[in-house]
Amino acid sequence: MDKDELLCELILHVIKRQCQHDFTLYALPVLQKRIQRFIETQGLASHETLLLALIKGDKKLEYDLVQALTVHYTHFFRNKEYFQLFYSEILPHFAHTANFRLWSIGCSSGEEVYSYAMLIALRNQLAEAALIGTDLNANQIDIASAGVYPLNKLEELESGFKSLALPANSSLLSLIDSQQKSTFTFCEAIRQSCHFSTHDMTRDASLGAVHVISCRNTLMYFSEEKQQEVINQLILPSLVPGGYVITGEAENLEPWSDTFNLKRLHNGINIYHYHA
Amino acid sequence: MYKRILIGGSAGSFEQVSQLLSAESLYHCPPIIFIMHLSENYDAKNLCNAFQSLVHIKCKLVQNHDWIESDTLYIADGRYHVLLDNDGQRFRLYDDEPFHYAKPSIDLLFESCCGSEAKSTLAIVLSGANSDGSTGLKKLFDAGAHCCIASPNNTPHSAMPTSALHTVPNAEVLPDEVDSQWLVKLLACDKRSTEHLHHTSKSKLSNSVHASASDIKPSNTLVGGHQ
Ligand SMILES: C[S@@+](CC[C@H](N)C(=O)[O-])C[C@H]1O[C@@H](n2cnc3c(N)ncnc32)[C@H](O)[C@@H]1O
Repeated sequence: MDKDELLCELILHVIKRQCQHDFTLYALPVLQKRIQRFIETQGLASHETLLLALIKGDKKLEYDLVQALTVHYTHFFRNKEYFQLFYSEILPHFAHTANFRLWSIGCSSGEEVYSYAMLIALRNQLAEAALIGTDLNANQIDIASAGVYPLNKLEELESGFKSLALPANSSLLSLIDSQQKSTFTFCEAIRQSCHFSTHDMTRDASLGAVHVISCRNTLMYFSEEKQQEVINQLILPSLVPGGYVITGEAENLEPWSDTFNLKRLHNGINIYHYHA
Repeated sequence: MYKRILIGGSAGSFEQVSQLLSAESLYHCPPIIFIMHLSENYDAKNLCNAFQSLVHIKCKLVQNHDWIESDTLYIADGRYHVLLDNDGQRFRLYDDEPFHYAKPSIDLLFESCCGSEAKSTLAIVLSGANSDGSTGLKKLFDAGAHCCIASPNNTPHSAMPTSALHTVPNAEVLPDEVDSQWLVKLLACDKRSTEHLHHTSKSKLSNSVHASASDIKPSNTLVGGHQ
């Protein structure tokens, strides 16, 4: 192991000691690259400089590093088949549910939450719905809460929206507000039903009475043991019986479906029905 | 003894890999993991099928958490980075932005294999239009892997091998014309040299582990890919 690698491990341990975020659970080569990039963008001399500053208690640096270590890659209607099934198979079950709650764990900058919200609106189920997006990364949560995105994201959104099989009269225009020159946002009703907050899924508490949990491309950062722990201690306790769990396309829960009373809806798609 | 073969390339590397792996006698080999830069929307199943019609080993798409099996060529799609886990025996996919404009990142795959498993790893950098793979190859080399680079003289896109050679000048350069026998011979030699190793005194062994991967192989069979 070379020196910088060792220093990276030490840096992660210092973070764990000082602010309880446990990045030692994540894949080291990726974190090394991110730490390297952080050192460069902050103009720090070396790994040692960073480590020393953290030990000395530079809180601002510590905060920025935690933000820099998380991956926030996401987009609207990412993996459209999942959103299609959400629209056509999951939502009808909750057509008459008062206080429908959806929780997106690891929601990044919010695109996923707003994608769900638009579909709920198209089913006229938004009035009774609350969508909660949480993420470890406070900067991403700020973006998500503001709900304002640059116009190039609108193209991404439109192309995702068009690729879904929705009733002919479904109109995107009624859901977004693109009055500004270079940005757009969502209609008042959507913004009112989406709530965001920081939350560390490896240590913070579960929520209650959630009907759909979407935890996509986030579980995959952890070891399998940690993934099981998250499912067992955070995801399932938050769900109502008969609720749904949606994971990312590379996060197959099938091998654990018996252990966790999860039933996969369709082969090859990671949407599970929870029959507690 | 090689326990895995990692291959990275982008533009132009498809032909090179099919060349390397097309030998009929190549049906028994360590797992081969090929990272080719693809656009995120490209359906890697097509690539996998294309390979299956050219090679005599199994071709599979990389799946999160799969254990890596011998006699198999693994192809990654462009949606996730690919890492090796459990001492190089298992896949772990990772969602992230591209690194150095590349996804999956060859560097990341290489870097995930730099523990004790590096010594039983053969890594090859092929044709490509960027510098992905160089940093990872350097780390693998330092950790004792056998590192090879396509000859930039005869490569459709030479940026990737040129950059790798610059970073790892002591890596082995593949012959200008790699034919399908190159890997077959290398693996045969590897088998022989490990047998030979069992009879070598301990002191010689501990000298340099890298020696076990490249020095011990008779160089005529190694480089003379087309006699
Ligand atoms: C790649 S994004 C996925 C975004 C979205 N779910 C999607 O699939 O497009 C992963 C997110 O997980 C968040 N994350 C990582 N570790 C976390 C943790 N321990 N608790 C909560 N969120 C975490 C990151 O900050 C990042 O925003």
